[in-house]
Amino acid sequence: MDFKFIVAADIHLDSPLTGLSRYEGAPVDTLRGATREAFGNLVTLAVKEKVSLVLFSGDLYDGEWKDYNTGLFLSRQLSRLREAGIKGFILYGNHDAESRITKSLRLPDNVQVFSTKNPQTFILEEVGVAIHGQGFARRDETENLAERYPAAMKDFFNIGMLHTALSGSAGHEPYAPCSLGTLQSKGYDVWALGHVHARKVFSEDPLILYPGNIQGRQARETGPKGCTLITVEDGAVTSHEHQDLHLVRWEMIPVDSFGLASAADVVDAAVAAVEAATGRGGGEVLAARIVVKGFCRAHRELSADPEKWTAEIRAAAAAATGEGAWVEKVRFLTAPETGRDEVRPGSDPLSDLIRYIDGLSVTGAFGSWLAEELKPLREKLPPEIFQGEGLMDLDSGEELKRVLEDVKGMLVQRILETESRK
Amino acid sequence: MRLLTLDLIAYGKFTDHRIDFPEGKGVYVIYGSNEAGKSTCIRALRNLLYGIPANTQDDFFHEGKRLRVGGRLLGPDGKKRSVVRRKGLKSTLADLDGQPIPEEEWKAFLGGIDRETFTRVFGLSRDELVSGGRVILEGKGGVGESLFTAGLGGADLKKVLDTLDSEAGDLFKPTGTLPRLNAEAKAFKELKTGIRDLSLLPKDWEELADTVSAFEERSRQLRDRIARLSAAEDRMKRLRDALPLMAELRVGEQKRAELGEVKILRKGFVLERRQAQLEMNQALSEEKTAKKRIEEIDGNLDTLVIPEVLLAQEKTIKELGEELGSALKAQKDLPRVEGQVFEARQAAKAILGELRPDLDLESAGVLRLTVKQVDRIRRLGEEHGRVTIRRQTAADKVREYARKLTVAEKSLAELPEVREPSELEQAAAFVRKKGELERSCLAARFEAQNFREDAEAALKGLPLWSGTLEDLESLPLPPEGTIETFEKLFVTLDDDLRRARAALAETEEKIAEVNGNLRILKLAGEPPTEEELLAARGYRDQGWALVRSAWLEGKRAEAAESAFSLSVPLEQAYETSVLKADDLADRMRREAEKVAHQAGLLAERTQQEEGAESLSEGIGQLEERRGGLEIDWESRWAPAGFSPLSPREMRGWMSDWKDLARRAAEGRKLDGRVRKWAEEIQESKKALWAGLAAVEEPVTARESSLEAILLRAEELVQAAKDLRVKRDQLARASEEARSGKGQAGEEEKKQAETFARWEKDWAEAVKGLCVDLPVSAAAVFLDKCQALMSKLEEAEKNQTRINNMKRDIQAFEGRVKDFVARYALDLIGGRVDQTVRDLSDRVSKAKADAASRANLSAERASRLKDLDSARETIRAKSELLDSLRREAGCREDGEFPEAETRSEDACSLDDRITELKKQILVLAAGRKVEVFTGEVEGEDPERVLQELAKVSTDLEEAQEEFGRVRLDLGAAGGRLQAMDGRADAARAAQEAQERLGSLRENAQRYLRVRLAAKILRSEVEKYREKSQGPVLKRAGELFTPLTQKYFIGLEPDYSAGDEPILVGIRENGKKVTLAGMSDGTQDQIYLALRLASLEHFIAGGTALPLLVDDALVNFDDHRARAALELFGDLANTTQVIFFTHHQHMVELAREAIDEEILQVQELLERA
Repeated sequence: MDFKFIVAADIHLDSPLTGLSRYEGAPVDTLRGATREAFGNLVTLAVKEKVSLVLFSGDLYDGEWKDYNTGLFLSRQLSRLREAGIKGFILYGNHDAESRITKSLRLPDNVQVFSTKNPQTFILEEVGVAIHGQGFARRDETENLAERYPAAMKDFFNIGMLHTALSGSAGHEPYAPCSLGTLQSKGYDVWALGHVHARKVFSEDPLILYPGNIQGRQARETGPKGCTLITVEDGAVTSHEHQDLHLVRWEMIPVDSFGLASAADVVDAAVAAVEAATGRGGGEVLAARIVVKGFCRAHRELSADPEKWTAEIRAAAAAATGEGAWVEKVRFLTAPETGRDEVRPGSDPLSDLIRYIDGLSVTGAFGSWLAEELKPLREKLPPEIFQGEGLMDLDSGEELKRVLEDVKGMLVQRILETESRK
Repeated sequence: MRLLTLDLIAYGKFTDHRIDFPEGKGVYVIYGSNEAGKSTCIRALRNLLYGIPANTQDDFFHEGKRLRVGGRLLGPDGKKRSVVRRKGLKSTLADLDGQPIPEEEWKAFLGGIDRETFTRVFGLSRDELVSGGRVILEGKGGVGESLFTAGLGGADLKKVLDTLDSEAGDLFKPTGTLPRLNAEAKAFKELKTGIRDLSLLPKDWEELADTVSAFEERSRQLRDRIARLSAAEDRMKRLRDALPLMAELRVGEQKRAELGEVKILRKGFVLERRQAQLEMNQALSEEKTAKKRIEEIDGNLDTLVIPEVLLAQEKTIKELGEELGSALKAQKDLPRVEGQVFEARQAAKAILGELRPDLDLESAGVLRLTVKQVDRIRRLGEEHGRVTIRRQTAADKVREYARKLTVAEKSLAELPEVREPSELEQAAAFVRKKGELERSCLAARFEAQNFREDAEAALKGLPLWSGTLEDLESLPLPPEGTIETFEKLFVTLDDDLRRARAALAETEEKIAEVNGNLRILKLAGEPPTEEELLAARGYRDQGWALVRSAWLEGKRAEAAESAFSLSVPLEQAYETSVLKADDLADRMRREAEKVAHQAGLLAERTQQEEGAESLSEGIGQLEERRGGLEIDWESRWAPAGFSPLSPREMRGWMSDWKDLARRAAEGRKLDGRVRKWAEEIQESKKALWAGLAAVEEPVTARESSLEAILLRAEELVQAAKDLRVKRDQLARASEEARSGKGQAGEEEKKQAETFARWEKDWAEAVKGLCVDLPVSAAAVFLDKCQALMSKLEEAEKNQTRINNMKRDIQAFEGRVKDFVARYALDLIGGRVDQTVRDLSDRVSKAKADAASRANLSAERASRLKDLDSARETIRAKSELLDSLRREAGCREDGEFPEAETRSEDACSLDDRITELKKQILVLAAGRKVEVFTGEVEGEDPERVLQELAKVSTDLEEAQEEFGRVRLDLGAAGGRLQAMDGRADAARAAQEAQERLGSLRENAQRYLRVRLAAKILRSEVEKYREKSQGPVLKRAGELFTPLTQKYFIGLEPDYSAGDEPILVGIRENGKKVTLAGMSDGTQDQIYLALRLASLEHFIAGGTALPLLVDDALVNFDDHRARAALELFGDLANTTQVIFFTHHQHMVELAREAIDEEILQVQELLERA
């Protein structure tokens, strides 16, 4: 019983990469179709490695995504597996349950889809494998599906497939919850899980793992992304390796601005960091969130117009990497060199202003003014911009603090700039 | 914090330059001209406190890393510290030991005030006053804005707010489409719609897939039906096609049977048979034709008779014919030629009559002249004219010469004799060559005179001496060297004297100074001298002796005591004396230094006085030596007869004298030249006079000028020369005439002889031709003789021709007669010309006949050949036809057609039957022919056609439907194919996300910009509320003096729009808004607010020095002084450093500020 197989999950075909605002020099074309390319890479890898099976542990597409072309693309790619004599096993996840595409898709005959009503077992005599699984019948599957899975079959290599928020997967919808113990109790050789986008191995024997998604789609999903290639010899797992499939690698790039005298220096440092991060990859595009942090003299310049310096960094990074990197966002978390401001003496208007800003909060007059100010934005702008990562969520004290810090920097610098004829 | 020193160690153009700010003062006015480095100082001070910026402009002299600025500062804690700032990134501030000062510590030292605050709040410039005034005015005098602006050293709040508002407006407007957020939101919405449009719905795909399947199924069914129908139709068609074939086959077989046994002729038989018969017939016809022609030719040959004899004489007959032409022509020409002979003879006769009527034509031969004769006569005729003229000319010449000779001799005799002018000529040329002597003489005289006058005038100007120029030159003066020597001696002596006198003066000054010092010492209380002490002690001792004697001995010396103690008791006097002596001693000890000083001074005075004495002595000696030198000097000039001035002056005098002496010599030279000119003139005149005498010209005017005499002499010379030329010419002419006359006489004789010789020749030449032939007619005579001879010759020639012609005709006729007699007897007796023609005709005919006979013979031979050939053909064809008949089984040729027709019909039927069978076999399409034919013959043709029509219709319908279905399938399949899993919608979704990213960024920016504006406005208002009371009140207090009490205060008021605004209060209580004030007053309001804010700031904690950069330039003197007073007041609170480059500002400061607290220093440029 020697064979190889691939475990993948959370393909989210054709779902866009979010948070990347477009700018001159950004590698737009690479982004378009990144998930498809990554999926293509998966199939190519399977063919190249001559694996016997490929397991998809849920979430082939985004639930809301309605373009049937996505399904057709998937079907076509699975046909490539068929041509190579590779079997495919699909377990529907929460997104698939929601998806219209799932219901209509006609898959090639080398692909099996698990039932969503009961646990189902597919046996591949020629390989000696028994695969157990049950897909999601609805999006918010809150039952512990694993409990009902059958016990391992004797003389077979047993694989369990499950789309689950394994208890304690923070930040994920708690679908099909189950505990590690439940999984271990089944006596399977491998548990191929889906739903959590970060790769994680919970146990070596039995091998229980999330392969992670194949392409990061937002700033939080950093690092290399892909599938897990598992080798079985004499009925036992001898190796499991992560294989990169991503087209775009997301990274959080910290830039230490300590001691930098001017904003231009910060731009240089940021670009150098982006270049270095780009160089560390395997030629894929880097989607970078840059966080500039540190005490520096450049703080003033940066805070007067952070948008301007963001644009500068983007342009310089584009020039330096030749469309090798997309600067998603630049966060300036700098502080003045002397760390001043909190205790500012004197009773000049500027000091008063700083104290005033520092004292602002959502409660009171300022809060109602803020709500008033946001109203037309909410009415006029697409609701999407108010969703997701702490965007305009000014009820969150932290976000407000950040905004006020920015405002403070902007005002102080602008006021000081107006007149410098002394 | 206070600044004590600012050390520009290496900064800007300064090196080691210190500016002191002594404690105890409050206002420091630093005055410096433009470029003195005021601005550099201000920057240096700021940079000392806060670091030297990387991009400093002050490193043009000292290299950046060498820039150093230091200072001593008094901290708020009362501690002083000295620090040095260098340019760099880290630890740039150090104490004097080079120990870096931590930033935090330094920050605390500066009271936490950062650079910007220091620059803004503690810096005041003229520009700020102006712009600050403008800013608060633009802020419409709003109280909050004004206070805020002043509190921040002129920050342009309005500009900040305007920029924020405009940025926000560019980003978003609640109603609008152009701002970026509005536009992006719209674009995002469109993209989302786009995604929907690009998306393929699963339902659509399923429906289409089902449709395609349905079409495919129908297509399959139709294909089967079409196949079936096609087969049926095919069978019916074959049956239909076979039916007529079968019918024809049966008929054909019937006909063939009817024909029975038929001899089948081979292919080509008919053609061969017809060919043979045709050729047979042709040959028979040819045979007949040939025979007939041969007979005709034979007949013709018999009729031809040819005269062979004549034919043999053909050549002769031809010659006779040709000669006949000539003979006939001669006969015709004869009479014309005979006429010509007659005419010529007639003409000759006429000419002869003219020449020699005495002669007849026969004897005219005498007139035939030889060529030689003719030539001789002609030449002589020509010569006649020439010899006649030559003789005449010679005679004429002889006469002409004789006349000329006479004239020349007569003229010569009339001319006067020539007098020899050569001597005079030489003299004149000589004088002329010398040039204009008289003019030169005159010019020289003028020059000499002028020169002399000038020199004499100059001479009068020469001091010390008077006399004539001539005497001047010979003045016995000392040599120039002497003067120089004396000059040097005088200079040296005078220098020594001056130095000695200066030294003396200095020494005396010193003595005076020493005396002064001594006097001062004395005034300060003369220290007691040793003598005084001795005196005091003596006096004491004297008292002691008195006391002692009174005390121990009990003796009282009244007189001595009285003398000693005067009016006081002895004990008292003695006590006094002891005290006095002690006091003196004490003083001497105490004032030992003063004493020593005094002693030193005295010693110095003695020394100086000794020096003065020695110097005075030296001066005396020098003066004495100078007196001696002067006497010596005078003596050197004694010979010249006058007393000299100083050597230096005499050097000038000598130079003048030399010039004059040079001019005297020059004058003499000029006089000499004048004399020389006069002599020359006299000599020239003498020479001319001598010359004139030689030509015997009386010297009319001896006193005449040289030029006049010279002109006269030249005139005479010319006249003599002219006369001589004329005489020579005449003499030559008479000689020529005489010689010509002789030669002409000889020529005349020679010509006469020539003429006589001609006359003789002439007579000989014409002898016998004509009596008395005149020379003039000779040419005519000769021409006529020639004409006569020509006519005679012509007549003779033509006669000869006539004779020849006659002879030829006779000979021709004879030959014709002979020929006829021999060959054509029948022609005898005919006219010769006719005879010849007949002969010609006969020959021609004979020739033609001979040719005919030859042709006929040739044709006959040919025809015979044809005949043979035809006969051969006839034989061969007849054999062939025999064999053909045998083949066709015909007895005779006439049976051929029938046999041939039968054979053909049989063949044709057989072929058709075979063909039909073949076609039927094809239609049977593989089935047995018998079965098929059986089927066919069993079918009703009518039914077959009906069946076929039905099947065809069905098939057509099926095919049509099939086409339609395929088309639909193609379309639906194409659509399905197009659903290829394309990523368009996904790409649009990605783009929408990018747009969303941008939207978020801009929304966040919008929010920040709006917040910033809002917060700033709110803070301005808060600041107003907070500061309005104290600051505004204080500002009003400051404003009042600044306007010389034109205004008495500042107050908040409300504008028409109910906004709090600033107004100035006049004494009468009237309120004036900012807009109603002059520019200057606005500046002053600003200054008042500014200073009030500054005080407020300082009251809040920390004071740093206020740097004022010539801020008051725009103020008039009163207000500037008022402002300076305010600065003086401010000095209580903090240091005020006032930089200016206006001197009068310094003066105003001195007037306005208590000198106790004012320090003025000038900033001197020291690079």
